[in-house]
Amino acid sequence: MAEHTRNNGTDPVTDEELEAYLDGQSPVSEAYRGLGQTEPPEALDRAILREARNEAFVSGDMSGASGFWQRWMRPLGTVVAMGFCLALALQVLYQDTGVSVDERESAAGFVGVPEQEAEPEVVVEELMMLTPSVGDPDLPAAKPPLPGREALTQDSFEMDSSADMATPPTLTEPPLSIQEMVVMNRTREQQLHDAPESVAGDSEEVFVTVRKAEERDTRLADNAVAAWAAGARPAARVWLAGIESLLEYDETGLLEEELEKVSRVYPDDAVEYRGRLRSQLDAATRLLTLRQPADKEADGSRLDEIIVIGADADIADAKVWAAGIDLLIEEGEDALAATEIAKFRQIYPDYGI
Amino acid sequence: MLETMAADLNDTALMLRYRDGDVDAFETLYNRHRAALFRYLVRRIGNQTLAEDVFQEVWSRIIRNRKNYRPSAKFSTYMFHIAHNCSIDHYRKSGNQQNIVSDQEEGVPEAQANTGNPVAEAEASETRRTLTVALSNLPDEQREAFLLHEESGLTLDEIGQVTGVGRETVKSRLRYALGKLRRVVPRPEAAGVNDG
Repeated sequence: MAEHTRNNGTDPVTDEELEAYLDGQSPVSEAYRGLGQTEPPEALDRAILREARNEAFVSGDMSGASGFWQRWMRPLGTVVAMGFCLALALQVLYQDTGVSVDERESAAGFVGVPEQEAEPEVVVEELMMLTPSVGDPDLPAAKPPLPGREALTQDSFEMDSSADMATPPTLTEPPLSIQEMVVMNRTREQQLHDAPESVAGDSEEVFVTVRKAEERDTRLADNAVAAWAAGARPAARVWLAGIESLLEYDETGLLEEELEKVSRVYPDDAVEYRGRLRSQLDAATRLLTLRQPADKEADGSRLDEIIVIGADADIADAKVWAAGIDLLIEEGEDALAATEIAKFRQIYPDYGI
Repeated sequence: MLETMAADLNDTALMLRYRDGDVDAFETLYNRHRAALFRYLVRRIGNQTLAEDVFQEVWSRIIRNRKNYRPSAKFSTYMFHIAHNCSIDHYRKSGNQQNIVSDQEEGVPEAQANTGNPVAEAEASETRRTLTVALSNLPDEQREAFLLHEESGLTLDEIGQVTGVGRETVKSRLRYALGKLRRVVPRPEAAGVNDG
């Protein structure tokens, strides 16, 4: 008779089998790969790539192979903005000189030099408009804003053509383009602000923060860590009762993690409870048994195998805590349950109990 | 391992380039990860049509948040974490967790063994069917851990980051999943059981 295989599929998975599986050497992985290479349809691919291009285009920083407008938008925008600023400056400088366009010639092709006699007056008025003086006896009294000034405050930026002032080359489009770009960017910023998910790799090594509109139940409150440190934590027996309830749900891994947390927060309670849980597990012939920290060190296994993620590493798991609260309610301990719920809400504001 | 590190670095570099506006970089990144992510979603959600919606939502989130992207973790970890969240959102909207059905029922072409041996092909087909059913019967958390391990190439720690649990919990879930799935998978030594 051939040797009976030790593991016939019903025996518990040994550590060696698990390690082999994690190394990719398992018939299960091989069988899974045989399920086939399902791929998304091409239409879906095109839609996603199109969205990626549109997003880069709208935000205005599309690079690489791109169309005419993306290549020339910034240079055109720069030229337009410069022309607009120049036109404004000319309007302000020459609107009150009474010199018409036809009389102005210069090497730069913009505005000519006004008559000598008028120059100081124009300069004085300009100074008054730009830097209003207070009680300066040497300067003339403040005058009403020049027509050009009023035009500057209007959104349409229309020039006052009734005044005898220089009429620079027509540049009505640029302001609208700049405004449109600003509005588009602001709209995009608002969309990003409201975007479903943001990635934030902060110094506490918390991987992802969940968006406000749609949050996971186990999302920590913004001040959860501070609240926890200030005492918003489950009573030891509530926490341990919640842990014990995990025994029924194949959550031994989570159970170990929670006990590790309890051992840090309530060391005396954890030591006592650990012994009781071990006997329960042995009685149930569970594969995984709790080990004391000293046993782990003796085995050579690392105490830090349980990942500590950020400063909230000791915070009780929401499911565990809620289970402990449920047990309090079942046992009629309403007052303690209410206290626990209040603390719970400081940590998990949205978890349904 | 060096090749894996180089690939990870390239993923991050590609995403950073897309963050700065390089759409071609995004296309490369997309082509690199689209198949694995899609399989994960189809086999976790159990319905290809719904999986396509979630798949598109995942990439939409990545696209919309490109400006905020910071390489605090591998891109694949980031991507699968979003997929994990989108799947949960999908379950909430549908009201329950759907068990996966056979790929054949969803119009997904079955993998053809083409060994030339009808018996072997029939056995392989039966194995695929039973494995699919067994996968569908796993608790969602165990199925997800299994699929992440098979499709994402992430480590236990990274799978824990994706699912929001610790490394030991991930290991525990994989152990239970493996224990259930291996019952339907032929053992390599089964051919020699009756010998002697």
